[in-house]
Amino acid sequence: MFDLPFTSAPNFGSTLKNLAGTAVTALANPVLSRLTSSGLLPGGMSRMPNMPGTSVRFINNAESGNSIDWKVRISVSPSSGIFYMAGGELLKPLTALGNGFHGVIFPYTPQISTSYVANYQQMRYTHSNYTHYAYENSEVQNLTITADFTAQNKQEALYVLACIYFFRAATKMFFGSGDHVGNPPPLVFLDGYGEHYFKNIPCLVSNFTHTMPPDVDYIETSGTEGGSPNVYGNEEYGVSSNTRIPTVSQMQIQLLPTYSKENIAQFNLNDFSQGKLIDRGFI
Amino acid sequence: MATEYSKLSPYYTTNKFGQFLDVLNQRPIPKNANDVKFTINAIYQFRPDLLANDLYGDPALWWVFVMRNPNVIRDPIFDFKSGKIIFVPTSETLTTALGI
Repeated sequence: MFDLPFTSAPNFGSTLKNLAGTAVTALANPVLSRLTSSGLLPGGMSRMPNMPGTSVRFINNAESGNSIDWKVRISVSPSSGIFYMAGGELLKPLTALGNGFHGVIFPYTPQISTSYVANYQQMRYTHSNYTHYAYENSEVQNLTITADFTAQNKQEALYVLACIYFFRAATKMFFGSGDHVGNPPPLVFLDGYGEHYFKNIPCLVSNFTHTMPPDVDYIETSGTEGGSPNVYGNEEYGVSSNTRIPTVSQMQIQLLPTYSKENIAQFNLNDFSQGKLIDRGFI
Repeated sequence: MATEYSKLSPYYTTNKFGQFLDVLNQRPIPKNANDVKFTINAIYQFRPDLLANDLYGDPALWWVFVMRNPNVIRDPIFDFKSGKIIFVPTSETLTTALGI
């Protein structure tokens, strides 16, 4: 004889009761059964928990006690006194990132391409089976950053607008009137992914592209914010004129890593290979 | 003049002349960020009334899906096919939009 699972009377009874209960529930509530099998809830409610009004966190991780910040950031020198360091309402979102951080922090992980190149000249000897190579130089080519930006409320729209103006300005020289007239576009510094990947890399912005998609909604910055603490800190900021910013857009930035002659003179390949020169921005 | 159709009816705001209805005055269902994306399955194929009954407790709201998804559904019954992706309005949206 087979040893059936329902041999003892009490177990058989409870199992049957459970099975019957499930069947009765399904039979008694076919609506719930249909909705559940379709992935829906009564009333058309979402299964996702309610998202807060501001879902993108621009504030640097270090503010929450984390000493390492992984976010990719492009900034100017704090002592430069230019752009957002010179004040002004439009770029103020870039100074209110918390814990003294400033600059453009990419809200979503951007795509970054870095290319390290060693150039060799081909030496073509007559009647030779193989090419010989003469070393010319090495270089770090353009850093290409492709990043998505979203704006779901006025504060985020103002932040995106500030980022656009920052990169627009970073491709232009000081010309006409004002301070620093005659100077080329300023150096910016790239940080991201911790101690040994991008740490304070001095760069020039050679190209900035902002794509305004035709198939997304646009949100209005609509005037100076005021009254309550904002997502970046306690200070309020804003611009007085209305501007419309796409809720989803993409920026592409090309950076040229650049080093002064004085810095290059301190280069040491063994130290570089051991990561000792990362503090000086060598990559 | 307004008809005696209930607030749940697509004809509630359509005028009536004698025993005849005027041209349909549509009752749009606004988009909402909380609207759930739903792929119509075999259970609800050609049955917007069943879906309305299950979601909102009243099959008379069968027409709200075509109003919320005008680019996906033209024929409220026979375009309600398995595999089509629609947005399902929440009951709060209907309460606000239809005054029910």
